[in-house]
Amino acid sequence: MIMNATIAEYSDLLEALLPAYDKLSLFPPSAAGGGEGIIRSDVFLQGDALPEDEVAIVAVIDHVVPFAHHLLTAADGHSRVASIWLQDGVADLSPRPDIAFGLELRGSEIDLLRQGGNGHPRSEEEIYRAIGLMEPGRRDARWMMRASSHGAAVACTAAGFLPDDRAGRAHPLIAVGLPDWALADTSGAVMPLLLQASVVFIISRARMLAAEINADRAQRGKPPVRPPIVVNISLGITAGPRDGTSLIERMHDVISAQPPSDLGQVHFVLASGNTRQRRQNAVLKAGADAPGEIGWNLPPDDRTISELQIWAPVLPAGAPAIRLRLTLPGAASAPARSIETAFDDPVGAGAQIAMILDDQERELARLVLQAFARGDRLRQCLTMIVPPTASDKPGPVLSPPGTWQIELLPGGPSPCDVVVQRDDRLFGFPRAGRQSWLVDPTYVERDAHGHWQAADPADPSAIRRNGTANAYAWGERQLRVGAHYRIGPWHADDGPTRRLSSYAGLLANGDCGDLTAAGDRCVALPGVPAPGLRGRATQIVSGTSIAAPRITRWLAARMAGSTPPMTRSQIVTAAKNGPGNPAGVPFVDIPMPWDR
Amino acid sequence: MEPAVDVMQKDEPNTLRFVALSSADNARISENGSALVDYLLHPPKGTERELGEGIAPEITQKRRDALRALTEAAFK
Repeated sequence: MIMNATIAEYSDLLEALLPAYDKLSLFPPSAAGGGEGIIRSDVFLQGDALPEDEVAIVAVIDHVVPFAHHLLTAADGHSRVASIWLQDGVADLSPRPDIAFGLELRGSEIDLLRQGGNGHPRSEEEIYRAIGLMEPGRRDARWMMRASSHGAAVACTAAGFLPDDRAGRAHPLIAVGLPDWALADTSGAVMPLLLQASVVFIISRARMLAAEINADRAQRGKPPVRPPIVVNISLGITAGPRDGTSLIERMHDVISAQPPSDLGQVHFVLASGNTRQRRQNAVLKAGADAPGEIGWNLPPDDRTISELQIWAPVLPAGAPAIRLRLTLPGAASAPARSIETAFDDPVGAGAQIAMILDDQERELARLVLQAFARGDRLRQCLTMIVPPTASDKPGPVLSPPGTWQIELLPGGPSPCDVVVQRDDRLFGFPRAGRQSWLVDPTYVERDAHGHWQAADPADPSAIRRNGTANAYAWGERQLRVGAHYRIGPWHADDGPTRRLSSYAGLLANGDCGDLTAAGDRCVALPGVPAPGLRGRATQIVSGTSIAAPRITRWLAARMAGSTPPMTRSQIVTAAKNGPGNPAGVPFVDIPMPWDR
Repeated sequence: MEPAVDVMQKDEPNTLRFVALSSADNARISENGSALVDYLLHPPKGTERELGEGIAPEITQKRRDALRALTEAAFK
């Protein structure tokens, strides 16, 4: 049901985005890559890559996952990647009927690709070239030519083992490589469908893999197993309902609560995000004695749309609509640049769309008031979307850069949460979005000692740090991973929270995620080492994106054991009881294969 | 020729209007729909994104069928 709802909601946009590269699939890999293409095989794992006794599947949804990496290979050279869905891979001439776009490669197919050289095994680079993933002439096939990628760091941190390390046999990898264009748009417009399809793919392939593992066990006279899965998602956005009701959160919770009968427990591990200090969240109260007004700063040279959401509390149907006064930049010299919204009071679930037009009929902003059902009550969300502030081409309507004033007017719901949607640029992608932010003159970024602020004080200003966690990660069963500095003083006077990172998104109660792992070496050395795309290359990656796969790795090891933690609270307790942890702090520090 | 400053002032937005769309337009967004998706599919005049040129309905249907087949394989 949830997947069907996701398809219904997002597939039109997906179809609008897909054709540009789908035409390329008219060329088979043999023509595009100069190789002989893919020899089909349905087997997932072979030889030393098949689990022996213990097993916990690791799944990763990311971008540019190096499936031929030596850390994802068994001692006898077989791939430990059971299956990967390359969502923007060059489609095979005879794709599997349940692969809607892109290309699936199974472990045995990766093995065949590796063996396909002229008298010697293909190198990682030769494998990627053979199936059209390294093509200088194609814009969407250049990532593999780089030295590093987010997906390489995340996948190898979550499931990378030296080939002769038998611990790796317990952790087959199922991976999904998301398309470039989905990552380039950090607001995640079409991401819900891609993420949901990825999760469905992972469950589907995990069940097939479980059958294959049990067939192998039966031959060895061993009883069947129900492999658990730990799914890592080091991706996130900032705006959304943040109450666990989004399609993504609901799917994760449903699968975790009731995993398929042939699988063990399924855990979803998500990065808590890195936006605590970015001034993306606020609370407005209508009335004279509380902050009812805030600025929204739209930077110049932003080539993408910007979005801001205002969420009301859950109220009975028929409650007054959210009421705003919007004032454009420069209103001091032109008072007419101010306007009030006039939506009807929502009596049921649905949407009302309005435009803000100027005297030349240009649409300067789109306002959408939605009422979402919450039982027999409604939760309103007023979304404000404005055009880019810059364009490379002449003609399009641009939004005036500067500070837009947003005032929550009396007579409507109050207090309301204000959240700015993510609109930045990921490392390695072309210049496009520039992140907008909220402006409150009374907000204080740093404490008296110059430190970045942690959780909100008892009497906060409009801008908030509590509740800045990844908007995909407000479900009841997901694990939200914050970051800490791997090395640093404990500051006994302040408590161990001094070692928590200054940037990780906070849960509603101010916690730095459910548990934390290293996102940096120390305050002065951002990032931690992680594998690069090929060979022994290493990259430095910072933030909760790289902390999450460390938790995934740690949790997968526990899930493969005899007493796997089944719930979020059991996992947090296990982290608190880990070696070297100060009492009551869910820190996880684990050795990595590349540590010295 | 008008001074350049006048040209700039004419181009600045002045009087603003709040224009509600029709109920037919409102119906574009489903009960759990996304305002952002609707905006991208129905952008303001003059800001159309370079979306695809459209694709044959049978290919669209084939993709949706594949997604549904994947869902069935996962949860059967």
